[in-house]
Amino acid sequence: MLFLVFLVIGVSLIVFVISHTVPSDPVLANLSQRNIGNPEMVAAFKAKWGLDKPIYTQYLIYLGALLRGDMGLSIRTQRPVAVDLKAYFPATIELAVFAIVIAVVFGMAFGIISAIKRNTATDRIIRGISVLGASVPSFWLALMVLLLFYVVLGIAPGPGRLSSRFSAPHTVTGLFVLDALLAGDIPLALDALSHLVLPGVVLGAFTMGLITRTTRSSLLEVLSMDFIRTARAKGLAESRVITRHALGNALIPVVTVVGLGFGNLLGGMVLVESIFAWPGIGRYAYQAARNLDFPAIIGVSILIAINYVLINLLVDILYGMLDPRVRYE
Amino acid sequence: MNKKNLVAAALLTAVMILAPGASSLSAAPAAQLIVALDPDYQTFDPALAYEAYGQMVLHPVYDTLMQFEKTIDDLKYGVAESYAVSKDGLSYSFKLRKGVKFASGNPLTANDVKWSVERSINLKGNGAFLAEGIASIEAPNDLTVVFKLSAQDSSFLTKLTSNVFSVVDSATAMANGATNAADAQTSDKAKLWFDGHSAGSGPYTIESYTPQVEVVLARNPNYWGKAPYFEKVTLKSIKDPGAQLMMLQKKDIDVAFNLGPEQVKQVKGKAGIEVAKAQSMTITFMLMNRDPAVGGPIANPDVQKAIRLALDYSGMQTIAGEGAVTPVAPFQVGFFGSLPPKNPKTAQNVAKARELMKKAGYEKGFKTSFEVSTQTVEGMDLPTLAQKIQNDLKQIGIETEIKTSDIMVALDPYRKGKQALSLWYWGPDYPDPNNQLAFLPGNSVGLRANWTAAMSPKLAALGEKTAVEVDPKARAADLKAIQELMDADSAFATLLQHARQYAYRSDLKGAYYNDTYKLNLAAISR
Repeated sequence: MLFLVFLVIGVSLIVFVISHTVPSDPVLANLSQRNIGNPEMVAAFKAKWGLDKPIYTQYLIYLGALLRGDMGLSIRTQRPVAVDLKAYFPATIELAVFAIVIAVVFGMAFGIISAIKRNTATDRIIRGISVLGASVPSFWLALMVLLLFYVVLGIAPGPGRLSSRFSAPHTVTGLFVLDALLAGDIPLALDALSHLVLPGVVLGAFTMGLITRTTRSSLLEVLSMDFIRTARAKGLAESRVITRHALGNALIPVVTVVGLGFGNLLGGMVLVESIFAWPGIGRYAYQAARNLDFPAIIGVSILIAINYVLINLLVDILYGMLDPRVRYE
Repeated sequence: MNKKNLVAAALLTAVMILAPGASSLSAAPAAQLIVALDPDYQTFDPALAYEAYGQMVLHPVYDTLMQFEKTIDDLKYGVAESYAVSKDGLSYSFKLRKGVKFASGNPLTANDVKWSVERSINLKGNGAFLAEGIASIEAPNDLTVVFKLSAQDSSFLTKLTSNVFSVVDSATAMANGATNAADAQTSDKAKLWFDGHSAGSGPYTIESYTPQVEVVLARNPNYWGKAPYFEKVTLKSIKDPGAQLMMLQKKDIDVAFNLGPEQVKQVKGKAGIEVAKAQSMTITFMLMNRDPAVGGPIANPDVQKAIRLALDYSGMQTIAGEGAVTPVAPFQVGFFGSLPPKNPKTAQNVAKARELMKKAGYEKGFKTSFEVSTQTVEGMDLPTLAQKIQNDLKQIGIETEIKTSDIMVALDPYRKGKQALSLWYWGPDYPDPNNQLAFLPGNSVGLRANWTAAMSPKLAALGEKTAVEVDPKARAADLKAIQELMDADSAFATLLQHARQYAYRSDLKGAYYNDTYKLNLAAISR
């Protein structure tokens, strides 16, 4: 807990300093051109947002409020930053979870097949797909999948979280699929789920590529070990050798890649969110940066930092589960 | 389960997941209009909203005393039925329509008008400057409101069309934390309420607003005028023009509002889709600094004239897209008193430009920096235009070094008059040529080029006269003279007035463009 407090202070300080040293002025970003020329309006704006105080005073005031749980008001939306994050983050979580599931399922499957069929045509095809997935620009892939599956084939829905005929479910978690299920509205849940597929595939492609390659190389390394030779010599079926003996030992680096990938997804992907009209944290962060909306910038940064800390904790716990030699005091 | 069954099951699952969303295509209710746009609105508080698309939402929700019917020179009555101006031009008295009610059922009275404008003034939002010239507002009876101005203002009636002058149901607003008190900037608590609700008398009300997703308008059953066709209007935030295009082609939306020239080319002539072309009031211009300490050779008026003559306006209009024109001066075509646009073929005269460079003493040319922000203006990339200009200026010996930066970084030196040569754009704050007087010497934009009144006293004096001229004939003559003078001598080169192109389903009627509120949502039908 104490670590989290230090993390929040550290992140807020670094982001505060960086955002205040960019060669631009939040007055220019947020006031109209007319009002920028009006000294009274500029003074009122600065007074309202505390920008007329020395920078260290501004930070201390902000930190004091932050430690009381108040992330301040967004200069751009004029809503509490915490309210904004609560509105946008669930959309990112929902998409990130879907994307990481796709990445893990397909990434590991491809990685295992590629390792088993090492140096065959199958292996080469899979490795080609994984390189493509990791190197194709996500915004290009987003437009291509929309064009193919939505426009040409007509088998997938268009941008947005829901179709036009649906209204958002009553908010419990902000995750539309889950909230719709909780409300017992199956058509709505399915509609929300269908809208996750294309952006989920696009976002998952990069991490899937990494997981495939990591799974393959890690599994190959484990498969070359003595205990695997012993298991085979005992007459165990190859599938059992892989699933019961090899895979568990190969998973540790994979879990690391999954953790990093998930953390990256939870930070939002502004280009993909823009193309799929996904109201996530990426677009919010981008607009905050464009408007020099300091409270929002720091709020998003802290959220992303906390995400990474929690994910790393989860990864460490998984290490312990996967490898009995790993024990934490 | 064997491999084949596994694959079949996976495919079936995929189809089952995708199908519900796919089958919703074209399933929007018939009584709903869906518009896709890349909005910039941050609030729907009429006293605070000042973004380009804010008026698109607020126009059908709130009435104003005056409004535009179709084009911006087509000023009509809104909730006022008549007005009278005093001989000295300092007092405007409006008579309100009888029997107008707000969506809440409360009657709309002169007190609501007074309260609303006072709130706008005291909240000091970005649009409050429009009410700067108002000395007092009186409501002698329920149907009469009188504005007393501190100085004559030939654009006052036009200003009244702005959402800043929206008539708000004061009782409903006050019940939700709004105030018109002098300290409204700190005491008013209604901003968040206004973001998801409305208190107007227009044909629609705001049903809901989900930031970054959509705003939904619902028909107002108490509207005093003709009921709009659509029960609901949904404005969806779809940032990417490619995505907007795809959704229009799939009939998931009715209007795609932010298509660039490339997207328009793809959809033009396609069955079931109409492309609308209209003149936007956004102009792109070049600033040439008149201060030799900043602009160096650029500061020479003959060099500035040479630059204007060297430019290939036809080529620039091609880059901007079909429908773009080049005004004679920074006074948009379509404004009251504007001159016809330049003929792009004859506006370029490289030989004459070279003569002027020789006369200025720069026959061999010179080098200069050319600052450009990395903005896209009405679908046109400013750095791309800058490269075109760079090539044009080479013909008269001017070597430009293009320096790009984010607009947030570029704004500071621009405002401080520190740019020798730069490329900018401008959208009017309100639909009146008085806006453009800012470009005159000694005024706000003129001073960004260090173009002082002393440098062009005749032009400066003419600008001051025009700002207060209430006689339309005299005003038109003054505006014509200003444009001609600026065509001959100016610190600016007006490059383009952009066209706005958007596409909509061909079964829609009334989807015409107005630069103030973009689309008149209440006028659209199927």
